Amino acid sequence: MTPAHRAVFGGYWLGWLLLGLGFGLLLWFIVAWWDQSEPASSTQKLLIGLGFLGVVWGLARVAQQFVDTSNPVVGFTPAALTLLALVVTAEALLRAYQVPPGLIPTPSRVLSTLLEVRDVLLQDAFQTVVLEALVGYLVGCSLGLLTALLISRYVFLERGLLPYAALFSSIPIVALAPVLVKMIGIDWPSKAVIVAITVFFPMVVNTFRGLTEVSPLSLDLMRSYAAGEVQQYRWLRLPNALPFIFNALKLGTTLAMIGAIVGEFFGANGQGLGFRIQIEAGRFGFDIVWSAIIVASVIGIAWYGLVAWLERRLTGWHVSFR
Amino acid sequence: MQANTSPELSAKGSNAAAIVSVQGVSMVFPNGTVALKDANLEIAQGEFISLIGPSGCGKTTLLRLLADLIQPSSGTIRIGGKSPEEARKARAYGYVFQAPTLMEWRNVLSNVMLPLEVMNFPVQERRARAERMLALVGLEKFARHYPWQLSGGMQQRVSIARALAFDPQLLFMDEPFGALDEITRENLNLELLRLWRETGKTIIFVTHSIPEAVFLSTRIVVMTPRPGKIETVIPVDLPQPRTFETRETTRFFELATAVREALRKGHGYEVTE
Amino acid sequence: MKKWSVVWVLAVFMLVSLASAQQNLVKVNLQLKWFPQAQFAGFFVAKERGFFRAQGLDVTLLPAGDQSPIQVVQSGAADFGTTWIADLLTARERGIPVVHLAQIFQRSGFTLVALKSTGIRDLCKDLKGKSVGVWPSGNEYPAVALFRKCGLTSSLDPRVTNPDVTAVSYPFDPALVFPDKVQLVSAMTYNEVNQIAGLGYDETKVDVFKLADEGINLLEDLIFTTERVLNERNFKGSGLTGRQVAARLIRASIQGWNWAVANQAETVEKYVLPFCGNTCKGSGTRADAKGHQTWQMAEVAKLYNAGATTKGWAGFLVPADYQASVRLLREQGILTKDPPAATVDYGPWEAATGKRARDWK
Repeated sequence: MTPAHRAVFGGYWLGWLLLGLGFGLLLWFIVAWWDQSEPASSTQKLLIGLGFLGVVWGLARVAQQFVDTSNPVVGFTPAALTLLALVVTAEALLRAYQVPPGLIPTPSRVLSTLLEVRDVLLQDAFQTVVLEALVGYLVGCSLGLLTALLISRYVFLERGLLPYAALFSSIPIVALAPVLVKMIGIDWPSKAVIVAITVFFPMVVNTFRGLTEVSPLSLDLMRSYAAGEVQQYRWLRLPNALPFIFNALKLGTTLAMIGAIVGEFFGANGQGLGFRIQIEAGRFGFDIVWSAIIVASVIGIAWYGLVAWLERRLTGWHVSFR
Repeated sequence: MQANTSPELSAKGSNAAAIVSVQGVSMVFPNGTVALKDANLEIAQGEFISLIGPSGCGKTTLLRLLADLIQPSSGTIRIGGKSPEEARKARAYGYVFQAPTLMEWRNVLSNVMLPLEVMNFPVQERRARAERMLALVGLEKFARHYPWQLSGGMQQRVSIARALAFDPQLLFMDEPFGALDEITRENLNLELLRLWRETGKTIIFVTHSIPEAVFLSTRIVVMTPRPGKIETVIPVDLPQPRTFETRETTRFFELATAVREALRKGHGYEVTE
Repeated sequence: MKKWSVVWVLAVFMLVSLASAQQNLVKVNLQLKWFPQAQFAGFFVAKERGFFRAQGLDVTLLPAGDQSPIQVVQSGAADFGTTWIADLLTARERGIPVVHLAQIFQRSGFTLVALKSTGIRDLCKDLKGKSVGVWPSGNEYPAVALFRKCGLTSSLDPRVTNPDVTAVSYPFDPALVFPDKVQLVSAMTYNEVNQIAGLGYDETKVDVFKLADEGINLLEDLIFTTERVLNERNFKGSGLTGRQVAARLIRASIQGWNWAVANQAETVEKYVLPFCGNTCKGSGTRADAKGHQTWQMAEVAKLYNAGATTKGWAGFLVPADYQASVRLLREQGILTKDPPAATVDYGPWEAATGKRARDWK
């Protein structure tokens, strides 16, 4: 063991110790203050600060350990520890200052509420994610793809429609939500329509670029094969557009969740994550609001991850994955 | 050496089994540029023809006219007795472009299989043919690689294999080695000659390199710009098979000089006009 | 040169401070529960006829935005606000230190409206399986209290998966959901009832169930603030305490309300219509701002001129009414414990009116 090695291992040892002490301090305070209704003393607040510093310092020292790994779970450890540190510190601070739950609920309160109301939130999520976001997403993306195909094929459509698609894809369609809810009604289809419109334009613009940003030589090549229009799309334009399509699909997952949730703010039939967030925010039930946000985030991330995974499978050849 | 425009040579050319026949072909682009003026050329089966000249001389235009990628303003072109459009639809030629133009979403093998898929070859035959073509260009070990994993020269070999995959009689090559370094280029020249001998294809090859044209060709079509036209046709009588040493023979230098002078003459013509 | 400019600046500064000292008005923001309309007539009268100014206050009346009035006042964007009691009490239970100062409306104007053809005769018996239109942001409590009182669960309860009643939320305009999406729709006696009539469903076609008649008399428009404002020693540097400002605000407001209720036509003409735009105009065949606001003024006057007001105790929160509201909310599980005593502060009202709460009989 060289001195350098010893320094590194010594550092890790110290880091874990600091990390442990920091977490210990924070947890000790949380337990001690569990049933208190008075704000903590300055000394105790100082201890929380020390605990947080200990955790951060320790984390900084041990993070190096997880850099050179191919195991994603191990590689994720520092990020997980950071999240844990932030959550535990927030819990301690909220308790120390006795922040009312009607303003900011403690993480523990949010988690216990999440468990308590999970059935209703899952029902809400079904309405918001499956009926509104997913249906709207599938419809909007398919229509977008179809439109892009037509626009790329017929020049007069390109001249007439594409400028509007480009324009619409850069304005916040969510602003249309109140109008659409009023037009179509408060049931889930109005939100699905909002989602469909939101994802439609980026899909058109992206797919069109993918279909048309084909090298002229490739087109000559297809012509030299005496390939017809359909074959040209089948063998050249569509595969070329695939990375562009996936970009729009990924962007669409986020837009779809936003569209569905925000759409519910303008009217809902008693269900949905947006409905729940709006009702509970209005009555200061922020533990439920946060629970709903957690559910929405987890679903949103999973959905994005699924599309990204598909993208990797289908367009692994693309520059972005080399 | 104005032989190409003389009736004798044209007659002589048409007497042979001409696979490509160009008669009085002109190409004027919509903006008024005369890309090609009154071109006449007969090419026999099995020839290796180079089209050489400075940029703007119409050599690529001529090749694209033969391939029916563009249509002439006037004149007649026959490919194996058919119009260029009929020839294209009959998949009579393979075309190798300046850039490899490989589909980046396909690996090397399936890039070579692309024309076979477009042309609906039987499924079992596609792979066998593609593998044979890859072996021909010496890339059988790289079948599973993706284009971006190959050097420029290897990519161009893949595109040659692809052009040969459906076994066309004719091979049109538009400055295929123009972007490559000199050493790679000379190696590929040798390899191309071997391919030509082994397959017996008729090759029409556009280049702006005099040594390349002399080394490869059976005849060199010298073209000059403004307006693009065929200046002269120089037969190359270097013995086959040609090797690296061919480039060092006196005859090689004489022919290279002849081509250079023909090019300069075209240039002088432009100046005096 | 430099010296002279300093003198000039000082002179101008002194003039300006003299001028403002003469006015010496305390800037106060009052957050209204909704858009300007006759529902807030008393406040507009107090502002425009100078009652606030006479109390040394420069009051800005803020129309409703995205957030509930409690959120706005809690965040400090407004100093005082008007809201409903159920909203106030639930916020207090969740730790928001809001304080009830004065009760403007002595009676609830909350109703549920149903088409006669739906056959709903008795709310409790016929509610099950129905859809009810409710407004979010704390305006749903009267309906929730009714559901609970009838022993029914609703989709407003995040702990119930198969609710008896579906609560449909929508952006306040009953035309969005009624009568297609919901069998019953929330309506205030002074606003939506007339809007629904304008849509073609007048008294001959609908039943109006007043929740006050169903035993749900949850008091509505009241003036509140936060403990922070109330305990201010020097309100915005005015030299007044928060309590003094509150007392002045209440005094002028009651003055304004008394005047408005006594001079309804003039109030609507001069102090309501000039300040309300599109939100004033009613619906359908009754889409006429003046007509709708005149009607609203009359209905609002009924809510003001009730209970304590009729005995000359305007703005007074009758302890029995308050306890009834608390009891109701506790029985229905909307509140889990009694609100702390500090939730209601009679001090400013007593200072404003010269009466003492304990003298109420």
